[in-house]
Amino acid sequence: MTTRDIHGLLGGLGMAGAGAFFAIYGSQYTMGTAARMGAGFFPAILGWILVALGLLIALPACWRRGEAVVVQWSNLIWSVLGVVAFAAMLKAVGVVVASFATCLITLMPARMALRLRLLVSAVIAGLTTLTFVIGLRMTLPIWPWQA
Amino acid sequence: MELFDNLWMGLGVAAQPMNLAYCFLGVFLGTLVGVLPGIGALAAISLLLPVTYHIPPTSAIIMLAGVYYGAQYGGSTAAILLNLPGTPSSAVTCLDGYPMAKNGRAGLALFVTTIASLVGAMAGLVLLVLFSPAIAELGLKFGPTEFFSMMLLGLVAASSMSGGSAAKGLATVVLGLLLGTIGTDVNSGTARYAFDISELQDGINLVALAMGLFGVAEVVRSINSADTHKQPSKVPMRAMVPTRQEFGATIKPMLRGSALGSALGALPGVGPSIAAFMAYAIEKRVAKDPGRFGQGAIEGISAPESANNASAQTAFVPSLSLGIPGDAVMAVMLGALIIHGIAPGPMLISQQPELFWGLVASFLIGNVMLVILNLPTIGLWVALLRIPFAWMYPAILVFVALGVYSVNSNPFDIYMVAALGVLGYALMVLRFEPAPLLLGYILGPMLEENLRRGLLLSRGDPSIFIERPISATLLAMTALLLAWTAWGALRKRLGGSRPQDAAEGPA
Repeated sequence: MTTRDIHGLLGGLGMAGAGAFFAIYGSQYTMGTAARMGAGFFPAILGWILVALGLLIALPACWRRGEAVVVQWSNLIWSVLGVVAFAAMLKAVGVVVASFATCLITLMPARMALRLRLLVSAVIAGLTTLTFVIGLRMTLPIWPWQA
Repeated sequence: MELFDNLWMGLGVAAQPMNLAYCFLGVFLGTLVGVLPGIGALAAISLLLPVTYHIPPTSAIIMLAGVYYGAQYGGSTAAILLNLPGTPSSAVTCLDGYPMAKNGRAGLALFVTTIASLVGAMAGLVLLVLFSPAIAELGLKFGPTEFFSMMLLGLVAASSMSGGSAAKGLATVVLGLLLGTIGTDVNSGTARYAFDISELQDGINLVALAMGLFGVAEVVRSINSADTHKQPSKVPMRAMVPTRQEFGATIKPMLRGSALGSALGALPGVGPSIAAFMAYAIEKRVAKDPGRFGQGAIEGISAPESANNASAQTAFVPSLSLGIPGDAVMAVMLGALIIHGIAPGPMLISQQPELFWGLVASFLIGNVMLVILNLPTIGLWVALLRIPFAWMYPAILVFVALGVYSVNSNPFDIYMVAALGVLGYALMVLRFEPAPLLLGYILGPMLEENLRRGLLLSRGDPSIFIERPISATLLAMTALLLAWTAWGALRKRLGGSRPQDAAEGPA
């Protein structure tokens, strides 16, 4: 399946956009002179360089053939969700429950029987608690009733 | 001899029980991530970064370095047994290592790659010991202009040579430099791009960036890659011992590979992968019957393995002698030193002799540990390859989250990791190499500082960068490199209508 070179097009435009953002948002900082640079000088130069590079990537990609972009959405969503859930739960319910839940969430895209899922998550929750809280003595609640 | 005094002193540091333990932990974990396809040395080093906050800097750097060169050993195991490179630099080892395994010579291949790795590493180590102090001495004469030009050369080289399109590499480096500007500017005290979020005033956390780019993003990419479902065959110890003839055939390739790898590794941007590829190409050229290559030629594994291990050692030359990292792994290691308040630069060797010589001596010890780890216990690593990735990746994600939290005890950093993981995955999906971004992020503040100082000295006249001879030479090299990559890209475009991805070559 060949289309236009979407990788280059999207990536180049994204880079150019990021560069423009840094350059324009950064214009509120003092520029200064070359001899006495202000805080805004260096990011402004870099921002516009990034815009140029982004366009250099995107423009030739318009008339070049490439493959379709493949995104593993379910891997991405569940993994990120797992990490975010961990951040939200850690202090509220303690390490054991937070890591157990995170494992279950991140295991969503894997093909695995339910019992094995629970087992893997339980083992990881146990190991995490042993390593970080008991081994490395991090001060964190272990169980929900300690939180 | 001053050199031997220093080495002796370094051995004393490296042989302290605590440093020995961290060295072992490093090479053990390095072998582990090297063996496992999907997780690289950079991911493992990122995961270990939080630990380095709590241990002395020398132990920290010994451990992180151990992961780096340990992964070079482990990488060949998966390459030989499963035809999957455990690390990018062992991709070449697949070419002849896997055919050897199919012919029932897996044990021999594993033995030869381990010995070749040791020979390469020792050759690289000799070069590191001989040249670093001399280069550091030269570096003492450097002013801000020289440092600026040197860093620029390093950044351009690392991004345009790292594989893939040069424009993409450069863009990633510049994005990294920009991410490095986030936080309070040291000169004016202005909080740049902090959006009134107090956590951002200290800048993006190095640990969060490294873990997001190389922990979360790598996991997302490899969760259900078909790679991880192959089954390796058993390797008995008896099959490992080579005959005299077989061993004789590997000596010259090992020496050639070591020499090539040592020389290339010290250059910025030329990592173990390029060294291994070039060593393979040379062996094929000097061989009497090149037709054997790809079908289990023993030279085809011994030369590249020597080369990638040699270059993994000499990669430390620019980092330790000038404070200028040649690739992202080196950048993270220097980042670990900066966390401890040690400024990398030409003063490092003279101001922190225990650190430098202790590290060098730990390479000796670590490489010997690796040979022991990789030969008698090979069965353990083979068994490890049978573990499905799904049993491990949730643990990686939990460790990432808890690890980054442990640095500041602030959940904000975990959210940051999640966001940077999305960024890293987006870069991977769009075929941008994320490693130069990290390099840019770490070098960014240093680059800005030296640019400012240089222009302050010249009262704003940029011609100072081409009036000073060393700086001018470095800038000329940078310009040549840029012109060369631009010409290459242009020729490729004019050359034909083949799909861009085929032309991108090995990463």
